[in-house]
Amino acid sequence: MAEAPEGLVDAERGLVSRRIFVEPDIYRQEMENIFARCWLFLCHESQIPRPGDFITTSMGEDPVLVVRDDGGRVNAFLNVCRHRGNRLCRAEDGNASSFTCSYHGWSYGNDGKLVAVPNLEDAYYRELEQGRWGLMPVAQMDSYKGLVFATFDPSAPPLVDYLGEMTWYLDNFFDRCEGGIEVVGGVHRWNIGCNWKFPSESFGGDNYHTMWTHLSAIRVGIGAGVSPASTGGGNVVSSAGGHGFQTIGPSDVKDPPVPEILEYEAFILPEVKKRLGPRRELLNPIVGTIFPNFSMLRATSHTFRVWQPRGPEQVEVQAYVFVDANAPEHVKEATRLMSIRSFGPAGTFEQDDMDNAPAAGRCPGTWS
Amino acid sequence: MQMGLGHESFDEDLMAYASDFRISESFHRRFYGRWAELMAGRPSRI
Ligand code: FES
Ligand SMILES: [Fe+2]
Repeated sequence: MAEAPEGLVDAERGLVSRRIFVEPDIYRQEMENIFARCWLFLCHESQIPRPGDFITTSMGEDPVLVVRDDGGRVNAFLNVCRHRGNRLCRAEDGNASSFTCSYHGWSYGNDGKLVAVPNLEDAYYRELEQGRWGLMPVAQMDSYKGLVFATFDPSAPPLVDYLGEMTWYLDNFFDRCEGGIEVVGGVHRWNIGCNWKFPSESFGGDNYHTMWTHLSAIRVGIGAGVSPASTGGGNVVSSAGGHGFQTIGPSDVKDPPVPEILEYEAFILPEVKKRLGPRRELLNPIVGTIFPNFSMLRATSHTFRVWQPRGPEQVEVQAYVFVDANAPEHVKEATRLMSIRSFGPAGTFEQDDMDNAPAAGRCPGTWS
Repeated sequence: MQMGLGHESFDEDLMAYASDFRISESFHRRFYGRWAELMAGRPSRI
Protein backbone atom coordinates (compact mmCIF):
# COMPACT_ATOMS: atom_id res chain seq x y z
CA MET A 1 0.00 0.00 0.00
CA ALA A 2 1.55 3.27 -1.08
CA GLU A 3 -0.28 5.41 1.44
CA ALA A 4 -0.80 4.95 5.15
CA PRO A 5 -4.50 4.23 5.73
CA GLU A 6 -4.92 7.07 8.16
CA GLY A 7 -3.98 9.49 5.36
CA LEU A 8 -7.16 8.49 3.61
CA VAL A 9 -9.34 10.39 6.04
CA ASP A 10 -9.26 14.13 6.62
CA ALA A 11 -11.92 14.57 9.27
CA GLU A 12 -11.16 18.27 9.72
CA ARG A 13 -12.01 18.98 6.11
CA GLY A 14 -14.73 16.36 5.89
CA LEU A 15 -13.00 14.17 3.32
CA VAL A 16 -12.77 10.41 3.13
CA SER A 17 -11.33 8.23 0.39
CA ARG A 18 -13.61 5.52 -0.89
CA ARG A 19 -10.65 3.16 -0.80
CA ILE A 20 -11.35 2.55 2.89
CA PHE A 21 -14.57 0.77 1.91
CA VAL A 22 -13.11 -1.72 -0.53
CA GLU A 23 -9.42 -2.44 -0.04
CA PRO A 24 -8.49 -5.81 1.47
CA ASP A 25 -5.27 -4.49 3.08
CA ILE A 26 -7.15 -1.74 4.87
CA TYR A 27 -9.78 -4.22 5.97
CA ARG A 28 -7.12 -6.53 7.41
CA GLN A 29 -5.63 -3.64 9.31
CA GLU A 30 -9.06 -2.75 10.68
CA MET A 31 -9.31 -6.22 12.16
CA GLU A 32 -6.10 -5.63 14.12
CA ASN A 33 -6.30 -1.94 14.96
CA ILE A 34 -10.04 -1.63 15.55
CA PHE A 35 -11.75 -4.97 16.13
CA ALA A 36 -8.95 -6.40 18.27
CA ARG A 37 -8.80 -3.24 20.41
CA CYS A 38 -12.25 -1.71 20.84
CA TRP A 39 -15.01 -2.78 23.17
CA LEU A 40 -17.46 -4.76 21.03
CA PHE A 41 -21.09 -5.50 21.80
CA LEU A 42 -21.92 -9.15 22.49
CA CYS A 43 -25.51 -9.41 23.69
CA HIS A 44 -28.10 -8.20 26.15
CA GLU A 45 -28.30 -10.09 29.44
CA SER A 46 -32.00 -10.84 28.85
CA GLN A 47 -30.94 -13.13 26.01
CA ILE A 48 -29.17 -15.48 28.43
CA PRO A 49 -31.08 -15.24 31.74
CA ARG A 50 -30.61 -18.81 33.09
CA PRO A 51 -27.51 -20.89 33.89
CA GLY A 52 -26.40 -22.67 30.73
CA ASP A 53 -28.05 -20.14 28.37
CA PHE A 54 -25.76 -19.20 25.52
CA ILE A 55 -25.60 -17.32 22.25
CA THR A 56 -22.98 -17.41 19.53
CA THR A 57 -21.79 -14.23 17.91
CA SER A 58 -18.50 -12.79 16.75
CA MET A 59 -16.00 -10.08 17.56
CA GLY A 60 -14.78 -8.87 14.22
CA GLU A 61 -14.42 -12.13 12.30
CA ASP A 62 -13.61 -14.20 15.38
CA PRO A 63 -16.43 -16.51 16.48
CA VAL A 64 -17.42 -16.05 20.11
CA LEU A 65 -19.52 -18.10 22.52
CA VAL A 66 -21.26 -16.11 25.26
CA VAL A 67 -22.57 -18.38 28.00
CA ARG A 68 -23.92 -18.09 31.52
CA ASP A 69 -22.25 -20.79 33.61
CA ASP A 70 -23.87 -22.95 36.28
CA GLY A 71 -22.80 -20.39 38.89
CA GLY A 72 -24.72 -17.65 37.05
CA ARG A 73 -21.65 -15.82 35.73
CA VAL A 74 -21.56 -14.67 32.11
CA ASN A 75 -18.40 -15.62 30.21
CA ALA A 76 -17.25 -15.09 26.64
CA PHE A 77 -14.87 -17.45 24.90
CA LEU A 78 -13.51 -17.88 21.42
CA ASN A 79 -15.91 -20.40 19.92
CA VAL A 80 -12.98 -22.53 18.83
CA CYS A 81 -11.99 -25.98 20.05
CA ARG A 82 -8.52 -26.02 21.59
CA HIS A 83 -7.63 -29.35 19.97
CA ARG A 84 -7.50 -28.70 16.24
CA GLY A 85 -9.38 -25.42 16.09
CA ASN A 86 -12.78 -26.65 14.94
CA ARG A 87 -15.80 -24.38 15.47
CA LEU A 88 -17.14 -25.61 18.79
CA CYS A 89 -20.78 -24.54 19.06
CA ARG A 90 -22.78 -24.38 15.83
CA ALA A 91 -26.11 -23.29 17.30
CA GLU A 92 -27.17 -19.62 17.39
CA ASP A 93 -28.50 -19.92 20.92
CA GLY A 94 -29.74 -22.45 23.43
CA ASN A 95 -29.04 -23.93 26.85
CA ALA A 96 -26.23 -26.38 27.58
CA SER A 97 -24.25 -27.67 30.53
CA SER A 98 -21.41 -28.59 28.19
CA PHE A 99 -20.25 -28.16 24.60
CA THR A 100 -18.81 -31.10 22.68
CA CYS A 101 -16.70 -30.61 19.58
CA SER A 102 -18.02 -32.40 16.50
CA TYR A 103 -14.54 -33.35 15.26
CA HIS A 104 -12.91 -35.57 17.92
CA GLY A 105 -15.29 -35.07 20.82
CA TRP A 106 -13.48 -32.83 23.30
CA SER A 107 -16.04 -31.48 25.78
CA TYR A 108 -16.04 -28.17 27.62
CA GLY A 109 -18.16 -27.15 30.60
CA ASN A 110 -20.25 -23.99 30.35
CA ASP A 111 -17.49 -22.32 32.40
CA GLY A 112 -15.03 -23.05 29.59
CA LYS A 113 -13.08 -25.81 31.36
CA LEU A 114 -12.05 -28.84 29.32
CA VAL A 115 -13.98 -31.63 31.04
CA ALA A 116 -13.72 -34.68 28.79
CA VAL A 117 -11.28 -35.94 26.17
CA PRO A 118 -11.91 -39.21 24.28
CA ASN A 119 -9.04 -41.69 24.55
CA LEU A 120 -7.43 -39.75 27.34
CA GLU A 121 -6.01 -42.92 28.91
CA ASP A 122 -4.95 -45.04 25.96
CA ALA A 123 -3.97 -42.50 23.31
CA TYR A 124 -2.86 -39.61 25.51
CA TYR A 125 -1.44 -41.88 28.26
CA ARG A 126 -3.09 -39.43 30.68
CA GLU A 127 -0.26 -37.02 29.84
CA LEU A 128 -2.47 -34.24 28.43
CA GLU A 129 -2.45 -31.16 30.65
CA GLN A 130 -6.21 -30.86 30.67
CA GLY A 131 -6.20 -27.74 32.84
CA ARG A 132 -4.29 -25.82 30.18
CA TRP A 133 -6.71 -26.44 27.36
CA GLY A 134 -9.90 -24.75 28.44
CA LEU A 135 -11.65 -22.38 26.05
CA MET A 136 -9.87 -19.09 25.38
CA PRO A 137 -11.59 -16.25 27.21
CA VAL A 138 -11.79 -12.69 25.88
CA ALA A 139 -9.36 -10.27 27.51
CA GLN A 140 -12.02 -8.17 29.27
CA MET A 141 -15.77 -8.33 29.57
CA ASP A 142 -18.18 -5.91 31.25
CA SER A 143 -21.75 -4.77 30.98
CA TYR A 144 -23.64 -1.51 31.05
CA LYS A 145 -27.38 -1.59 31.86
CA GLY A 146 -27.57 -5.20 30.67
CA LEU A 147 -25.55 -4.60 27.49
CA VAL A 148 -22.62 -7.01 27.49
CA PHE A 149 -19.42 -5.90 25.80
CA ALA A 150 -15.98 -7.47 25.49
CA THR A 151 -12.57 -6.63 24.12
CA PHE A 152 -9.55 -8.64 23.04
CA ASP A 153 -7.28 -5.89 24.36
CA PRO A 154 -6.15 -6.46 27.95
CA SER A 155 -4.99 -2.83 28.13
CA ALA A 156 -8.24 -1.29 26.85
CA PRO A 157 -9.73 1.36 29.16
CA PRO A 158 -12.71 0.28 31.28
CA LEU A 159 -15.99 -0.02 29.40
CA VAL A 160 -17.61 2.85 31.25
CA ASP A 161 -14.75 5.12 30.18
CA TYR A 162 -14.94 3.85 26.62
CA LEU A 163 -18.63 4.76 26.50
CA GLY A 164 -18.02 8.03 28.35
CA GLU A 165 -20.89 10.51 28.26
CA MET A 166 -22.67 8.34 25.73
CA THR A 167 -24.01 6.26 28.61
CA TRP A 168 -26.83 8.78 29.06
CA TYR A 169 -27.73 8.42 25.41
CA LEU A 170 -27.81 4.64 25.81
CA ASP A 171 -30.15 5.06 28.79
CA ASN A 172 -32.66 6.62 26.39
CA PHE A 173 -33.00 3.23 24.73
CA PHE A 174 -32.24 0.68 27.42
CA ASP A 175 -33.13 2.24 30.76
CA ARG A 176 -36.16 4.42 30.15
CA CYS A 177 -38.31 2.56 32.66
CA GLU A 178 -37.89 0.49 35.78
CA GLY A 179 -36.73 -3.00 34.73
CA GLY A 180 -34.92 -1.84 31.60
CA ILE A 181 -35.48 -3.77 28.39
CA GLU A 182 -35.63 -7.32 27.16
CA VAL A 183 -35.06 -8.88 23.77
CA VAL A 184 -38.11 -10.49 22.19
CA GLY A 185 -37.93 -13.18 19.53
CA GLY A 186 -34.72 -14.42 18.02
CA VAL A 187 -32.03 -12.91 15.91
CA HIS A 188 -32.37 -11.81 12.31
CA ARG A 189 -29.12 -12.55 10.49
CA TRP A 190 -28.49 -11.63 6.90
CA ASN A 191 -25.74 -10.30 4.67
CA ILE A 192 -25.48 -7.01 2.84
CA GLY A 193 -22.85 -6.44 0.17
CA CYS A 194 -21.29 -3.37 1.69
CA ASN A 195 -18.53 -2.35 4.06
CA TRP A 196 -19.37 -2.47 7.78
CA LYS A 197 -18.74 1.26 8.15
CA PHE A 198 -21.67 2.22 5.91
CA PRO A 199 -24.56 1.08 8.11
CA SER A 200 -22.66 1.98 11.26
CA GLU A 201 -22.17 5.53 10.02
CA SER A 202 -25.74 5.74 8.76
CA PHE A 203 -27.27 4.89 12.14
CA GLY A 204 -24.86 7.07 14.05
CA GLY A 205 -25.65 10.29 12.27
CA ASP A 206 -27.01 10.17 8.76
CA ASN A 207 -30.37 11.82 9.26
CA TYR A 208 -29.87 13.47 5.86
CA HIS A 209 -31.02 10.33 4.06
CA THR A 210 -34.15 9.69 6.08
CA MET A 211 -36.59 11.96 4.28
CA TRP A 212 -35.29 10.94 0.86
CA THR A 213 -34.30 7.26 0.99
CA HIS A 214 -37.37 6.40 3.05
CA LEU A 215 -39.78 8.81 1.42
CA SER A 216 -42.10 6.11 0.09
CA ALA A 217 -42.50 4.53 3.54
CA ILE A 218 -43.04 7.94 5.08
CA ARG A 219 -45.65 8.84 2.43
CA VAL A 220 -47.70 5.74 3.16
CA GLY A 221 -47.73 6.71 6.81
CA ILE A 222 -45.43 4.13 8.39
CA GLY A 223 -43.76 6.91 10.28
CA ALA A 224 -40.29 8.40 10.61
CA GLY A 225 -41.38 11.61 8.94
CA VAL A 226 -41.02 14.80 10.88
CA SER A 227 -44.42 15.04 12.47
CA PRO A 228 -46.52 18.12 11.66
CA ALA A 229 -46.10 19.19 15.27
CA SER A 230 -42.32 18.93 15.07
CA THR A 231 -40.40 21.68 16.75
CA GLY A 232 -37.58 21.21 14.27
CA GLY A 233 -35.31 20.72 17.27
CA GLY A 234 -32.71 18.07 17.85
CA ASN A 235 -29.07 17.77 16.88
CA VAL A 236 -26.60 15.19 15.78
CA VAL A 237 -24.47 14.51 18.83
CA SER A 238 -21.17 12.71 18.84
CA SER A 239 -18.10 12.07 20.95
CA ALA A 240 -14.39 11.94 20.29
CA GLY A 241 -14.66 8.19 20.82
CA GLY A 242 -16.52 7.95 17.50
CA HIS A 243 -19.94 7.29 19.03
CA GLY A 244 -22.96 9.27 17.89
CA PHE A 245 -26.72 9.72 18.10
CA GLN A 246 -29.42 11.33 16.02
CA THR A 247 -31.87 13.23 18.14
CA ILE A 248 -35.15 15.03 17.71
CA GLY A 249 -36.72 17.81 19.74
CA PRO A 250 -37.73 16.91 23.30
CA SER A 251 -41.43 16.89 22.51
CA ASP A 252 -41.18 15.49 19.00
CA VAL A 253 -42.57 12.04 18.38
CA LYS A 254 -41.23 9.43 15.98
CA ASP A 255 -43.05 6.43 17.34
CA PRO A 256 -44.93 4.28 14.84
CA PRO A 257 -48.56 5.23 14.27
CA VAL A 258 -49.89 2.24 16.19
CA PRO A 259 -52.51 3.16 18.82
CA GLU A 260 -51.25 0.71 21.51
CA ILE A 261 -47.71 2.01 21.19
CA LEU A 262 -48.62 5.69 21.12
CA GLU A 263 -50.86 5.24 24.15
CA TYR A 264 -48.13 3.39 26.04
CA GLU A 265 -45.46 5.94 25.16
CA ALA A 266 -47.68 8.78 26.36
CA PHE A 267 -48.36 6.88 29.58
CA ILE A 268 -44.68 6.26 30.43
CA LEU A 269 -43.41 9.69 29.35
CA PRO A 270 -43.43 11.24 32.86
CA GLU A 271 -41.37 8.30 34.23
CA VAL A 272 -39.01 8.44 31.26
CA LYS A 273 -38.40 12.15 31.78
CA LYS A 274 -37.88 11.70 35.49
CA ARG A 275 -35.33 8.94 35.02
CA LEU A 276 -33.42 10.73 32.30
CA GLY A 277 -33.30 14.08 34.04
CA PRO A 278 -32.91 17.64 32.72
CA ARG A 279 -31.03 16.75 29.54
CA ARG A 280 -34.16 14.99 28.27
CA GLU A 281 -35.82 18.42 28.22
CA LEU A 282 -33.28 19.42 25.55
CA LEU A 283 -33.45 16.52 23.12
CA ASN A 284 -34.76 13.04 22.43
CA PRO A 285 -32.20 10.54 21.05
CA ILE A 286 -33.75 8.01 18.66
CA VAL A 287 -30.95 6.43 16.60
CA GLY A 288 -27.29 5.87 17.31
CA THR A 289 -24.04 3.95 17.00
CA ILE A 290 -21.45 2.97 19.57
CA PHE A 291 -18.12 2.76 17.77
CA PRO A 292 -17.32 0.66 15.89
CA ASN A 293 -20.36 -1.43 14.95
CA PHE A 294 -23.18 -1.49 17.52
CA SER A 295 -26.28 0.45 16.49
CA MET A 296 -29.74 1.03 17.87
CA LEU A 297 -33.02 2.59 16.85
CA ARG A 298 -36.07 3.62 18.83
CA ALA A 299 -38.57 5.01 16.34
CA THR A 300 -40.60 3.04 13.80
CA SER A 301 -38.74 0.02 15.13
CA HIS A 302 -37.16 -0.88 18.44
CA THR A 303 -34.07 -2.65 17.25
CA PHE A 304 -30.42 -2.99 18.07
CA ARG A 305 -27.93 -4.66 15.83
CA VAL A 306 -24.29 -5.44 15.22
CA TRP A 307 -22.74 -4.87 11.80
CA GLN A 308 -20.33 -7.80 11.68
CA PRO A 309 -17.48 -7.32 9.21
CA ARG A 310 -17.22 -10.19 6.73
CA GLY A 311 -14.67 -8.88 4.26
CA PRO A 312 -14.24 -5.41 2.82
CA GLU A 313 -17.53 -5.50 0.94
CA GLN A 314 -19.68 -7.75 3.08
CA VAL A 315 -21.44 -7.19 6.36
CA GLU A 316 -23.44 -9.72 8.34
CA VAL A 317 -26.25 -8.04 10.22
CA GLN A 318 -27.32 -9.47 13.57
CA ALA A 319 -30.52 -7.64 14.47
CA TYR A 320 -32.75 -7.94 17.52
CA VAL A 321 -36.04 -6.40 18.66
CA PHE A 322 -36.21 -4.98 22.17
CA VAL A 323 -39.10 -3.86 24.35
CA ASP A 324 -39.43 -2.34 27.80
CA ALA A 325 -39.34 -5.37 30.11
CA ASN A 326 -42.33 -4.17 32.14
CA ALA A 327 -44.48 -3.07 29.21
CA PRO A 328 -47.88 -4.82 28.88
CA GLU A 329 -47.83 -7.91 26.67
CA HIS A 330 -50.02 -6.35 23.97
CA VAL A 331 -47.59 -3.43 23.69
CA LYS A 332 -44.63 -5.80 23.44
CA GLU A 333 -46.37 -7.71 20.65
CA ALA A 334 -47.35 -4.53 18.81
CA THR A 335 -43.75 -3.31 19.09
CA ARG A 336 -42.37 -6.60 17.84
CA LEU A 337 -44.66 -6.63 14.81
CA MET A 338 -44.01 -2.99 13.94
CA SER A 339 -40.29 -3.49 14.41
CA ILE A 340 -39.97 -6.34 11.94
CA ARG A 341 -42.28 -4.63 9.46
CA SER A 342 -40.03 -1.60 9.31
CA PHE A 343 -36.54 -2.99 10.06
CA GLY A 344 -35.09 -6.43 9.45
CA PRO A 345 -34.58 -8.26 6.16
CA ALA A 346 -38.25 -7.83 5.20
CA GLY A 347 -38.64 -4.38 6.76
CA THR A 348 -39.73 -1.48 4.59
CA PHE A 349 -37.09 0.94 5.85
CA GLU A 350 -34.32 -1.62 6.02
CA GLN A 351 -34.88 -2.61 2.40
CA ASP A 352 -34.47 1.01 1.34
CA ASP A 353 -31.14 1.15 3.17
CA MET A 354 -30.00 -2.23 1.87
CA ASP A 355 -30.45 -0.98 -1.67
CA ASN A 356 -28.27 2.09 -1.20
CA ALA A 357 -25.44 0.74 0.92
CA PRO A 358 -23.84 -1.67 -1.60
CA ALA A 359 -24.11 0.80 -4.45
CA ALA A 360 -22.64 3.66 -2.44
CA GLY A 361 -19.52 1.75 -1.51
CA ARG A 362 -18.59 0.33 -4.86
CA CYS A 363 -15.94 2.14 -6.86
CA PRO A 364 -13.39 1.29 -9.50
CA GLY A 365 -10.07 0.25 -8.06
CA THR A 366 -7.99 2.53 -10.23
CA TRP A 367 -9.08 6.09 -9.33
CA SER A 368 -10.71 7.26 -6.03
CA MET B 1 -18.91 14.49 4.66
CA GLN B 2 -18.69 18.28 4.76
CA MET B 3 -22.28 19.08 5.66
CA GLY B 4 -22.38 21.44 8.63
CA LEU B 5 -18.60 21.79 8.83
CA GLY B 6 -17.92 24.68 11.20
CA HIS B 7 -21.53 24.68 12.40
CA GLU B 8 -21.00 22.41 15.36
CA SER B 9 -19.48 22.76 18.79
CA PHE B 10 -18.99 20.95 22.05
CA ASP B 11 -22.15 21.44 24.10
CA GLU B 12 -21.60 21.33 27.86
CA ASP B 13 -25.26 20.56 28.55
CA LEU B 14 -25.28 17.63 26.17
CA MET B 15 -21.69 16.64 27.02
CA ALA B 16 -21.11 15.93 23.36
CA TYR B 17 -20.29 17.63 20.09
CA ALA B 18 -23.56 18.87 18.71
CA SER B 19 -24.50 20.10 15.26
CA ASP B 20 -26.26 23.46 15.13
CA PHE B 21 -28.92 22.09 12.79
CA ARG B 22 -30.60 18.73 13.17
CA ILE B 23 -29.30 17.51 9.79
CA SER B 24 -25.53 17.36 9.62
CA GLU B 25 -22.54 15.17 8.85
CA SER B 26 -21.03 16.15 12.16
CA PHE B 27 -21.05 12.57 13.46
CA HIS B 28 -19.40 11.27 10.29
CA ARG B 29 -16.36 13.44 10.97
CA ARG B 30 -16.10 12.11 14.53
CA PHE B 31 -16.60 8.51 13.39
CA TYR B 32 -13.95 8.59 10.68
CA GLY B 33 -11.67 10.73 12.83
CA ARG B 34 -11.72 8.02 15.45
CA TRP B 35 -11.25 5.39 12.76
CA ALA B 36 -8.15 7.19 11.47
CA GLU B 37 -6.71 7.52 14.98
CA LEU B 38 -7.03 3.83 15.63
CA MET B 39 -5.70 2.88 12.21
CA ALA B 40 -2.67 5.02 12.91
CA GLY B 41 -2.14 2.99 16.07
CA ARG B 42 -2.55 5.95 18.37
CA PRO B 43 -3.42 5.14 21.95
CA SER B 44 -7.02 4.93 22.97
CA ARG B 45 -8.68 8.28 23.34
CA ILE B 46 -11.77 8.24 25.44
S1 FES C 1 -10.86 -30.26 16.84
FE1 FES C 1 -12.23 -30.33 18.48
S2 FES C 1 -11.92 -32.29 19.31
FE2 FES C 1 -10.51 -32.18 17.72
FE1 LIG D 1 -32.18 4.46 6.73
